Amino acid sequence: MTKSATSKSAINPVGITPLSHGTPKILMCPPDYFALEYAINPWMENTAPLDRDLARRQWDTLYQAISQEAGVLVIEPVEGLPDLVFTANAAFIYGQEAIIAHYKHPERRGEEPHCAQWFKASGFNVTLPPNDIFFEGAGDALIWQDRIFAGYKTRTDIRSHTLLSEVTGLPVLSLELINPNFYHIDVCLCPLEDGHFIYSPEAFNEYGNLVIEANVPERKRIAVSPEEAAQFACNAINIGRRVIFNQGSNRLSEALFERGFNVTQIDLSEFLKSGGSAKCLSLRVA
Amino acid sequence: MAGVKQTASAKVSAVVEFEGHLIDSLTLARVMDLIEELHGEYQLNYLHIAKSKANVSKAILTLFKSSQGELDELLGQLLPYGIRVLSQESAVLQPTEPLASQVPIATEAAFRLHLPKQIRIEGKNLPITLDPSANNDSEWVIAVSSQKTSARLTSRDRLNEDELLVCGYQGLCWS
Repeated sequence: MTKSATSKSAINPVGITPLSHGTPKILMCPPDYFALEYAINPWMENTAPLDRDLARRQWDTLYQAISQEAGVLVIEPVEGLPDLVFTANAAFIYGQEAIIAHYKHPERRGEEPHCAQWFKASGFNVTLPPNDIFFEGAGDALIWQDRIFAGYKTRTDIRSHTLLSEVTGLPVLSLELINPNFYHIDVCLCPLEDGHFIYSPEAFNEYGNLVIEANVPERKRIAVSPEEAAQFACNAINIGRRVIFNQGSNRLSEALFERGFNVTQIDLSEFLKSGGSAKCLSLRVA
Repeated sequence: MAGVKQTASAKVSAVVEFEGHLIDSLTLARVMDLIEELHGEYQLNYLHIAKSKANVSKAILTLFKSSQGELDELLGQLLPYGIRVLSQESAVLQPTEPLASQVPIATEAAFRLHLPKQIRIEGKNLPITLDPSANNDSEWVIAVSSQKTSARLTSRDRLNEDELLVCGYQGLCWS
């Protein structure tokens, strides 16, 4: 039997892992306590029961795939915080700045102090959003080139976008999310490192699509079909020329191959039941 | 007047402020279109466009609806876009000495084109009168009497020692 990538001996102690720059570093959280204990998005409603063993194997496969491309840091899972596994939401990272999430749903707010402590201990300058402003980390804010595409309305409060530009000095393009299935911007949009850009046009209204089209050249835009979007094709991890996402989006794979990317598709079906996939399970911290 | 979208049917109003990346993100266009879709009317009182893309812009609108219930519904629809209702809150006041660090808004040219007509203080609306002796070469401010019974638009060099200065946009009404 393959040893789990996150058996206790393999986990870096939380908070003392030095973050070196130059090598990509991805933060993950083992699914020890991953569960469907509540429903805070449409994917969690009336879904099939979770197969926790399968979820663990899928997570391990993702861990291994990421490890081929980047260093992986691990934050310790906490009992009672089933969604801590979705580290993309923990914070928005820009250099040494970490803006910690303040979740809309109380079910996830227990994650906030745990993550804030991890980032402080790891040497980041930690910013906490005001209590009355919700902000869901890199789930709703993605850097593309010299600007940030940030989602709002479903989970994140648009007022947090001012904080984003204050902390980073980068312009923020606020995109309204109109489909409850795509409740975070990282499930419907994925910037790639060389300026390419995967997105689901149906997740945005006419204003959002105009903003995207005005900023991203047509030759760089890769629009996925609604069917691929429903398979979380946009919830992709990009490290260099490697793109990792849930299996089942072959048209997107071909489009990426044509543009010189290498693709890894991984079955992440158990996490889809919770409304997350590859990108949600990871946070780039360096 | 530029930026006005108002008809005689409108009866109640609210002043709202919102800031952010309003232009590049089309948020201002989105909000204005939404007001029209919801059969509301608006007047654009103030617009500051950020000089750099990393800075935020600010807009102040007066919204009009035919009843308070409809106005409340409109405000509810606009809240997700980051609006803050200014006219329902009392103005922020501070003594004239030392001079306020948060400079009153009347110094800005765009503001002078659409002067506020009333100011809300401690739950009451006071009319804002224009001081005919105000000096155009000095910064303009809104001053409130020490008893908070009157408000006037004047220049800094015409302030009385016991007057209070209005800081920021909160409590200002343009209708």
